[in-house]
Amino acid sequence: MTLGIDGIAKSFGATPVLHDVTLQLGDGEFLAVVGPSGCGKSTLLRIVAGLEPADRGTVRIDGVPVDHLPPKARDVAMVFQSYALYPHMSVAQNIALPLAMRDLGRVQRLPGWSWISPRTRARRHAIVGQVREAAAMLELEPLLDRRPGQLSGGQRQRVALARALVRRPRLFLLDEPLSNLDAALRAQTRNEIALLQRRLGVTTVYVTHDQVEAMTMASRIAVMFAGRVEQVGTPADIYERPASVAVAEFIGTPRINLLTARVEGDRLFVAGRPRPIAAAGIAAADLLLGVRPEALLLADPADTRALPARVSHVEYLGSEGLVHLHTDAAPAGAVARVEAARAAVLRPDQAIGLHFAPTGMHLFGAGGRRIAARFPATGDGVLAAVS
Amino acid sequence: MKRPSTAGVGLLFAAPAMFGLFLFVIGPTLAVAVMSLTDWQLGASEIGFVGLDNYRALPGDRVFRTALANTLVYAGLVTPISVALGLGLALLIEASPLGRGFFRAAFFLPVVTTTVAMAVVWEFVLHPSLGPANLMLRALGFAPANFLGDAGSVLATLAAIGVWENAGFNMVLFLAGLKAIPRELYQAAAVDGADRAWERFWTITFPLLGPTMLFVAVIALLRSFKVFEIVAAITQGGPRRASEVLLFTIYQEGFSFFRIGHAAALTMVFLCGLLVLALFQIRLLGRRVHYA
Repeated sequence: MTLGIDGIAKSFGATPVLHDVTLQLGDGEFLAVVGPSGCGKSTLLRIVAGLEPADRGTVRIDGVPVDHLPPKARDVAMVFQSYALYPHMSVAQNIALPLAMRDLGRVQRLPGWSWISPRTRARRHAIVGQVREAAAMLELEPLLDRRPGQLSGGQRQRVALARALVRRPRLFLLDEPLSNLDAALRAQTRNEIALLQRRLGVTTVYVTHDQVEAMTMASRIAVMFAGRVEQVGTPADIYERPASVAVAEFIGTPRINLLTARVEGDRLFVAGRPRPIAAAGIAAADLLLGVRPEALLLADPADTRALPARVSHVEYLGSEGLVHLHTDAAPAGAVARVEAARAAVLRPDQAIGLHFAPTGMHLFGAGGRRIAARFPATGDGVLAAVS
Repeated sequence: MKRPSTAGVGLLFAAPAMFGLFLFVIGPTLAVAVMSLTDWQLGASEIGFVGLDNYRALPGDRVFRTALANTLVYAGLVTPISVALGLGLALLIEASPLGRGFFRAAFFLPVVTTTVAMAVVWEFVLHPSLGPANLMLRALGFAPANFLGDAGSVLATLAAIGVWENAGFNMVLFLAGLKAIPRELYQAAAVDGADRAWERFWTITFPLLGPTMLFVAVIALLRSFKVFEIVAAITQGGPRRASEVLLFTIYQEGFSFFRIGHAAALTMVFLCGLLVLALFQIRLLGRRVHYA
């Protein structure tokens, strides 16, 4: 099942929320749409579901435009942020509702009709079987007779998933399904959803503001800002080749370090210290150098080629350490990710030098767009531990 | 100093409210209960204790039996129709983005107007020869009807006025109930295949209005049993006691005929009847109601 989103635009009154959004999903693909709140990602999902009309553009499922179809005719299933379970129905009835609406006629749905019509009885029987199957997949069997109000957050979330997958829709739409769960449950459910999606092979659009969810679950990610898709790519693409400062800042924890820089010929200057760069046609204007925390390497403060910095705070995390630094080149401060053993010996206010690993460096020009550049190794390499 | 117990402090705080409750509700009710056991006449200096005589006389009392039957018929008409109409109006108003405030105000108007003043209007509207209702009937080729003067139609006419009075009140309660239903449920239902108005109503709206429905039904029943002003203002229970209702009978017995003992017994029967009905209704409907 493929999904095509082509040039979708949408405004609420005078406020534009989506500008010309175009995305393509292949069969069975898991696309995460990630962005800060208010970027239009939920609206996009609701347009795909048919809950909201688009002002312009076309949604195609399997190449066929579905813009004029109501949600139920699109054969999509949606999991809402609030789960939107029917509070007056049992878990079993919640899961069965989409099947009953699809497989039973208006008269057949009347209570007690199965007593009269053997055909209705057979269909009801089939529905019960499918409900059990879906419940088994999500380990909900012991809860089938409960009401949503009697369930925990995680259980409700699984009921919402079961209700979505029970009729084997052509498309799964998930709107921030994990945002109401606590951190431990979120990590566990993340894996479960990713595994379930792979097992069922249903094309999935997953909307989230949490870049960790996007990075860990999706086969591709679309990063959205202010109603526009800024970049689409695999998690590795997005992390290793961010198209703009905004994407680079949004993806990755801790945030990427941004240092003011300038280029002269084949040399890049950060705080007056040069290093070689291979980039074509860059004006000497103000540039931003993004350096991932793991690419910020600590060096001896006596090293004159290193960027001078001062330790402001050390976070020891057991498996690694995060070193917060003051340096003139980074007005907002910088963070280096280091081995735990090295973090343990650093003290606040200690002077230190900084080198950059070429693989974690990104150059951004005017407007925050990425500038294609290579950073030849300088031979500094990873420096010896600071004593 | 000894610390006062929590229960003691609690009672102290509740005391002003309890005092009011006893003075204005429980006390008078008890007084009526005691009076119903006497033969006291308003203004009389002597009171005789008659035991349950006042109650024993009720089943044989033709006026009481007529009033009871009329009240039941009136409530039986007004309660379901005004509840259904109130729900219908609320759904229509909620569904349309246009003129919401206007329709809400228009249908609520009968609730805030004085019944006695509106009685004059109704009397004119339904006048046998001058009333617009009959002019319309005649213009359409029907025979004119004496809505309020005919023993066969007077109760139904009063019930229609009662529906007009109560539907707006029920509508406002339903509007509040509808507002409390999360929009996402309708969207989930639309994705799940329940997107026709009828399906939405039976899948989401009606079940989730359960608590509101129970409340409205109980209130509407109590309100319709308390019909009095319109009867006192227009028909005085006539013609031929065809619009005699319980509250009007109690009023006449007590304040026209001064038979306080008798009126008090009627009041107690009326009170107990309401209590039993309301309890029965809550039991019956409450079992089917879902509270979120």
